[in-house]
Amino acid sequence: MLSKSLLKRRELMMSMGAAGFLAVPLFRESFVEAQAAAFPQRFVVLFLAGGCYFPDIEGVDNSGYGTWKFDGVLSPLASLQSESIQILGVNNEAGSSMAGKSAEPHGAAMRGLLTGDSSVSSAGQAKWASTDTIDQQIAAVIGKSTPFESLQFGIQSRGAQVDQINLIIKNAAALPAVDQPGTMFARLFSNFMAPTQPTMTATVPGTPAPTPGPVIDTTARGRSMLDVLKNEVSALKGVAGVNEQAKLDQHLESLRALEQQLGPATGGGTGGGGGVNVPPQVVGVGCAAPTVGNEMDIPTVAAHQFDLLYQSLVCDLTRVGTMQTLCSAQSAVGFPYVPGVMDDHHGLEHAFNPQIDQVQKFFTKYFADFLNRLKATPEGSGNMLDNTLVLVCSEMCDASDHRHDYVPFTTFGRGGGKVTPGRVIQYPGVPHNAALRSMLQVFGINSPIGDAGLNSGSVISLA
Amino acid sequence: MKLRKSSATQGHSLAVVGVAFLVGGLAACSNSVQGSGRAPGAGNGNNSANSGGSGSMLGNGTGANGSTSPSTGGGGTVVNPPVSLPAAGALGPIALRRLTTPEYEKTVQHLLSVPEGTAMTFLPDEQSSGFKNMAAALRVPQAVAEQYARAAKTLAAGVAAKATTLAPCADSGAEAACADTFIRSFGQKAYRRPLTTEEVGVYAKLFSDERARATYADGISIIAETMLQSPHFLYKTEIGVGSGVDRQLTQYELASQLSYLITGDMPDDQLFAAAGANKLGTGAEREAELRRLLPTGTPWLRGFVLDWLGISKSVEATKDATLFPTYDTGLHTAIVEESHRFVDSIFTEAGGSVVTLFNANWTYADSTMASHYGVSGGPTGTNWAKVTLPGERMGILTQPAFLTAHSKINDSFPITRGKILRTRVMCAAMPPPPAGLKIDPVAPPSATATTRERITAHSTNPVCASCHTLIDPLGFGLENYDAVGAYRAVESGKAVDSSGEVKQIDAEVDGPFANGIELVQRISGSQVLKNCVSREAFRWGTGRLSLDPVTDPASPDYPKYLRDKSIIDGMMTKMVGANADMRELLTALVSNDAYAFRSDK
Repeated sequence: MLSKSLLKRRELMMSMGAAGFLAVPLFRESFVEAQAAAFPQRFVVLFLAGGCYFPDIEGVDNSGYGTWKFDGVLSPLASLQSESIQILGVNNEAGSSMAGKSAEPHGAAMRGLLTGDSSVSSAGQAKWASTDTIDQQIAAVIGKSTPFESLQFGIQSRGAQVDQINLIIKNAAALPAVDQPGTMFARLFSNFMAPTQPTMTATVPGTPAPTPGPVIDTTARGRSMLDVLKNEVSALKGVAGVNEQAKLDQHLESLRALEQQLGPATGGGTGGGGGVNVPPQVVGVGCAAPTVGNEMDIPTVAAHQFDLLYQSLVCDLTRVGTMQTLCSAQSAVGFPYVPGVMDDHHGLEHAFNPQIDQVQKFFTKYFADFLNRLKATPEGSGNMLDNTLVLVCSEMCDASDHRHDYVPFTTFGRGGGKVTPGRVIQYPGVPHNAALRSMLQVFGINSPIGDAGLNSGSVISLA
Repeated sequence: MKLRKSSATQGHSLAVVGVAFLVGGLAACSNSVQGSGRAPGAGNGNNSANSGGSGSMLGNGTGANGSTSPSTGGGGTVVNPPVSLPAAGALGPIALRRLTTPEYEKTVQHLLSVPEGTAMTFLPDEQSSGFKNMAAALRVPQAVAEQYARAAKTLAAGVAAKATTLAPCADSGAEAACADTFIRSFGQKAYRRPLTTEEVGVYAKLFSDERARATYADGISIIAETMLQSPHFLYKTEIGVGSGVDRQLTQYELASQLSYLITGDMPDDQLFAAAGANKLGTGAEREAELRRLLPTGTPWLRGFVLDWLGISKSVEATKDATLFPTYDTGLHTAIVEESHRFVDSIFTEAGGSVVTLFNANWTYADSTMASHYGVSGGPTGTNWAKVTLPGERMGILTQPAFLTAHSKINDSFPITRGKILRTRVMCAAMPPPPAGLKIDPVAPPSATATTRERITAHSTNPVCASCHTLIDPLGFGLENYDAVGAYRAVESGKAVDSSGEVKQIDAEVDGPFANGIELVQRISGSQVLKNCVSREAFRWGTGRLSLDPVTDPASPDYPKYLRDKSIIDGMMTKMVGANADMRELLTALVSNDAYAFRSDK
């Protein structure tokens, strides 16, 4: 069994000390190969807006193991501690706006968090992030064979200004999260383009299996339409002037994403661009379309959104997902669903107030349920969490000061056998780009991320 | 190691809740997204109305971009020198303005005679600079492309079901000709212009390919389904023909610009006919068409007013149910409804006057609102009627919709109210936050301290005061209205002090006031307000930011600033000459020669 073997390996490693630690990559090659053949590697970001501290660390030994425990905001995740890596000293320097820098602090922190790209130019002027966020870089590698290269879920994720405060960025454009479960359900299960859906089975007794997609083959129809639309957008690019090129590039990319959902081009099809080479989809045993609506009640919305994120992964509709809870500097969002919390989100951020921890904890309980669900879903001899790397993070540690050092960074899962959890690693005093690179390496990406000047730190392997 | 909140004791903790976000936001916006990369609008002057001089719109801002610093500026007024306008004027660069969700909804209803609701589950439009129709923010990321695809699929199924009436074809041998007719007729409406021969050919092939796979109805529906996702349907194009500043919009582009500006909908038959007859080329022709559509445009103009003043947020305003037990769904709904009815009545009963918008002594109320206002003997039940306001109310700034939108869930929060009054009602800038700013929270509501006392204590530090003295005293003027817009004379056992001061905006409005009514009176008749609504109408009407004041003639932005200033001043002048009718802002905009031109970058 996977979990047993990993447990044994960890016990072995701990007994071997540092020497054993270095031997790990060799030890796990056979596992990686065995797993990779059957189940996909996945990447998930669970984001908490507004800052918090993760956890108080006590007595970490030189090998990274110690008596630390999850508390506070992370206490709902305590049972998953052995599946986690606590990354300490993460300094979101790219998101810093202080020390005389002119960028808006909340937006800079959110943009910098996953891009490693500063919102301040070398001349001290505000600038937009030009680096794709880490999830998008990973999706470009592992997301090409699923209907959705990546999915962005949200819970009250809308900020006041789309041009300033965003989490996910691709090709210098924001990818806003979808906050409505009903809309996300339609994206995932309405089958608006694809000829067939993944084979789905009801796993909960008494619940019906989802309705399969239409019988007629709409692939050729969909491909014909997309060919016309892509040509139209391309032609428009030729006359639309320099200011609108990025907008049309993003539009074209969106059309290509729809094309990806059609699956491979079949013989005799009209597809001019050819289809992506999609391997047979891996549909997990828990794949089942949930029943959702566009509820206003946030606890219900949260439950649905996490359910949909889980289903999108287990049905192999995507391999890269983000869940953005809230957005930095939201003045209009209150928390009537969190007992005892009286202020709005922006007010809490600036309040030195333990109430914000209550809000964050409200969401980490959902994180825990989601992670436990991955862990409880078997994949081969292991489970889904074994094949997934999950990053739990926030853009600041203490929003009241717009403080960007020591931002919370905790991973869960084993990334398809490329990660050894159950330990602490430290990045003291270096920009957090190195920590982002640690995660990129799990997916075979060995290049810098974000501002070149922020990539000076040495990268610690998560293996 | 312990990491917990050690920063709380680091250095000097200063307090500017919200202001840093605001100010940084202005900087980020103007630097990174909207303002850069636009071409000079050089050309031969077509609109010299009120250029330069005191009182002109872009002349009274402070601080943001090289003009007078509020920290030094006595009255804060910046009088720009008389200017020679650039030789010609394009309204701005080429633009693609994606339909907003309300525009999409109206358009498909018009196009396909479908009931309201197609866009019910669409993602919310992205807001930028207070508006949801800014071209730079309206894009087509994947999730948006998917929603268009889903909607098009649904709408196309309806087309397929009605194919025999929408594209009748009695002779099966003539299907290609029947499809050609549909392509041209439906296409002209969907693209809001006649299709080119090449485009007709593309759709003919699309039809024939689908026909080979499926039925005639499927062939017709694939035409509609594709057109409903076409960039020519989804974007209002402002491209024109020509090059450089001489790019002239086509007649059909102008028809769409006019129609969406005033109705939020695709052109009607008469506007299409005017475009087809080349009757939109002159300012007078465009103005005539706009005036024809004004009566039907009232709900759309309401949207401008509500977005400009941030009142649209009242729809989402949640309040603490313990502190404000009267704020239930019924009151919340009525508050929103009142704002709609009141703004509509400004256009239908008060000549569109921005002055009346701010100083009306009346509103529309049902029994819920009458009770909220403390008006006795007013309307009963859900019967809405015009009522005279109590003496402590005057105009839109004292209406619950404005007050609930600009307060916290548990607090009237004068900082937020002062910010909106300064930056959106009077269009004054804020200085950037001091370097190394650290922020302390405002104390939570208490039974012993008034809101004013809590805010004042929070803002006493001199560094904090550099911003807060510009906004807090404005917000204090509305302290007689709590977070749900109810009147209060006493708070925490003490008489409410709603005196304050307007500072460093313009000599015309600067000065002390004793209460909210005096604050409203100071603003409502001012040129500052008229200048501000003109700038905001320009932004809303063009879907882009106007440039902030640029004083350096060597700056590449200087000619663009002069162009925007010229157009906005012209809008303001026309409005002032028509008893402050806000609709004249739009007639002035569309009749400006620049409206028909764009530059290529």
